[in-house]
Amino acid sequence: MERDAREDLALIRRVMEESRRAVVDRGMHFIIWGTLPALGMVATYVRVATGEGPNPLWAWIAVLVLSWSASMVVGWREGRRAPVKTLAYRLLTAMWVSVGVSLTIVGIAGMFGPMIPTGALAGLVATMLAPAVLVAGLLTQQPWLGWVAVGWWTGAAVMLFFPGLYILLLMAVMSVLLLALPGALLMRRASRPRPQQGTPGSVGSAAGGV
Amino acid sequence: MKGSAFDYQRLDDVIHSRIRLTAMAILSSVEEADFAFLKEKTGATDGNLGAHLRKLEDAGYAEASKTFVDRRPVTRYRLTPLGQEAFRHYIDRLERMLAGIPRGED
Repeated sequence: MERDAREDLALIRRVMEESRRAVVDRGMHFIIWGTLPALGMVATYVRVATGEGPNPLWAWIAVLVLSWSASMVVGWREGRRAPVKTLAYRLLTAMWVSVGVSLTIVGIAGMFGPMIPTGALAGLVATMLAPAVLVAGLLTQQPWLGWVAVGWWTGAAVMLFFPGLYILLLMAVMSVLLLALPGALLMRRASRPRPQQGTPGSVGSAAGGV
Repeated sequence: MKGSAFDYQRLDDVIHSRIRLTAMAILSSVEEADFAFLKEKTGATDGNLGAHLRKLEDAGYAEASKTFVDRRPVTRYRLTPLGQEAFRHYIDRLERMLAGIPRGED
């Protein structure tokens, strides 16, 4: 009986630990924020390099409005579909909303305000994205996202130490490779059938009947 | 066995079933979970799990809310304050039994 009780407690602790960690990032936000701003970067590059094309400011307003709108719709839908809501899920959501608001403020301040040089914007954005990607990897138990964060830090260092027009294209490529692509991988993983686990068949003491 | 350190009759009978125990352990560590998640974690069949969850609801330990996602019904469960207290009490009692501390008032 003592062994059964210990097995009961071990089962409870294991199930609780597994459940607390249960959070899935379906990657849609990565794809949204990896593709739309990349288009803004390319539009800005074309305008600055050739003097043709739409005003980058209008392009960026469209990018921000579209990205935020898409993110809110996706967030609402994913919130309804989430099989389980945990503290990790709340932390992940709060972190991305916070990072998104901060990036938007920095972006608008860089475009319209006097304090942030426009040339430093991409580097600053990359610096802020790196820790967010790292934490998202920890919360969703996707350790490979740590390498994606290293990519963002490396790119940020390059952009901040070696200024130039190329930064716009580099940032566009990084957005696709280090946000949209990981987002597609996350989406692929999330769409796999959930494995059967945690079956408490070994607990002999607890009655199985209703 | 009654009165001994490992007398299971002194444990809450509503929780003391392997499926209900697992469901309670899950629900005590999350805000809410849907039926499919509980089914995956407990390894129970739909009918069996439904019956166990109804028992938790009848005891006032869990509450269910039904919604539709993509036109499909989804039932979400969460522990009530009474359920949280009962689960804490169950764990406490189990640990005391393991430690060999008899509870006279039980």
